[in-house]
Amino acid sequence: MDPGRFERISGYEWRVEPVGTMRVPAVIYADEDLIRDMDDKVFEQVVNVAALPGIVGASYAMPDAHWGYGFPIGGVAAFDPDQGGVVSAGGVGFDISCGVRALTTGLPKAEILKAQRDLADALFRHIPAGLGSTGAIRLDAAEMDAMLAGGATWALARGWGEARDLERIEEHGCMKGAEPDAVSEKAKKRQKDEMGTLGSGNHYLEVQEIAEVFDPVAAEAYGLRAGEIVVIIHCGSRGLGHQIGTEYLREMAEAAARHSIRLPDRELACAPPSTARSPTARSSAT
Amino acid sequence: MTLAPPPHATNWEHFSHVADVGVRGFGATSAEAFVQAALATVAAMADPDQVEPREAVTLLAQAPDLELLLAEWLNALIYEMATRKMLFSRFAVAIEDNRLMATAWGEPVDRARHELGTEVKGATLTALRVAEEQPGRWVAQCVVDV
Repeated sequence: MDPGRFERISGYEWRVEPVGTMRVPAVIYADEDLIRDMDDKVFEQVVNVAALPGIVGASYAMPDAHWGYGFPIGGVAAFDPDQGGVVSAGGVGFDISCGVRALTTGLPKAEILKAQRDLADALFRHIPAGLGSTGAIRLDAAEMDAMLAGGATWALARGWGEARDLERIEEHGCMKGAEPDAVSEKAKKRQKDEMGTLGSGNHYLEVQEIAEVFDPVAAEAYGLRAGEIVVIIHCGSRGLGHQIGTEYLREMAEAAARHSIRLPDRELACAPPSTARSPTARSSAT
Repeated sequence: MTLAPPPHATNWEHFSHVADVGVRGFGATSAEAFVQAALATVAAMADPDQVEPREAVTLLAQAPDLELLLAEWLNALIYEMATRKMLFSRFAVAIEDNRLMATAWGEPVDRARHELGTEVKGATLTALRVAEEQPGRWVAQCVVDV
């Protein structure tokens, strides 16, 4: 992006004053190099979000901002329900509950290199990945609902984790108030054969070396030490999350039309939280 | 079962979108462009020429307008492929008043025989466009999430 399109507040803060349908300013936090590397779509999207009803303060984008669906990835906005504020499908995204985890091993690189080939073969053998793969976990309807309501605590109870894992996951791996009934049977059906699979596309499991530590205090808190091996896993959401996102996007597009909300981009489909098929929409799409 | 149509002439392309992929189909009618957009979607997952039209699946979709109908159509196909663990290669599509009736022919995913690409998780409304660009030349496109 051309930094000239912004008012430069400081070396790390760039601002667009409200014009047209924008209700609040747009603010991006980044240095000039990052701004130059960002796609022009980030400008368009952060400005579009500023036009949504009930937005508070400003439409923000973080230094990692890039072209997303409706919102930029790395976009941040707050909405006040008492001021006509909305829940927007674009702010939730399609990758509901997708994430990246770092699994510490405590093993130095040399130990892993001794078994490098065997380890790689074992990972490929045991972890279902890619198109058409299926997992070994089969859930009946009751277990599917228990998984959706319990999140990582459910997995822990089935023996697929350790209690201390929860300490390192946001919300301790379980959003309170989740309502499995707000998830359609179609979405649940899509999850059936994908349970316990890594996925495809940009999902991955990588064995990585911690090459350099930039913040020793934070690194120590997370048990990360230079020269040791971590396993980085990008997974989650899958067909289940996408199906939930797609279904509620459609519902919110209809709700936006009912409330005469003009959308700068259809991916920003939104509705007031009190009417977004309350309360189910809120619990499954936040 | 209705007989599958012969292989479709290729009239589609992919376009890039950051980490995802755009699918774009062309045709003399909106229905033909929808068929080509479907082929472009399958082509992100596998080579449609390797997919035998052994089984038929019937699909219905409707939407407030033709563009949202394209997203509904591709999402319906993706859903059937995901839950049936199938790939499709032949399509018969009829569109009337923003309602779509279709049959898709294909076969179960065979990891030994099909050269597989990436899984398509769903159609999005990004770069969504269905239009008759010139008389008798329709385009149907959107970004799909992989």
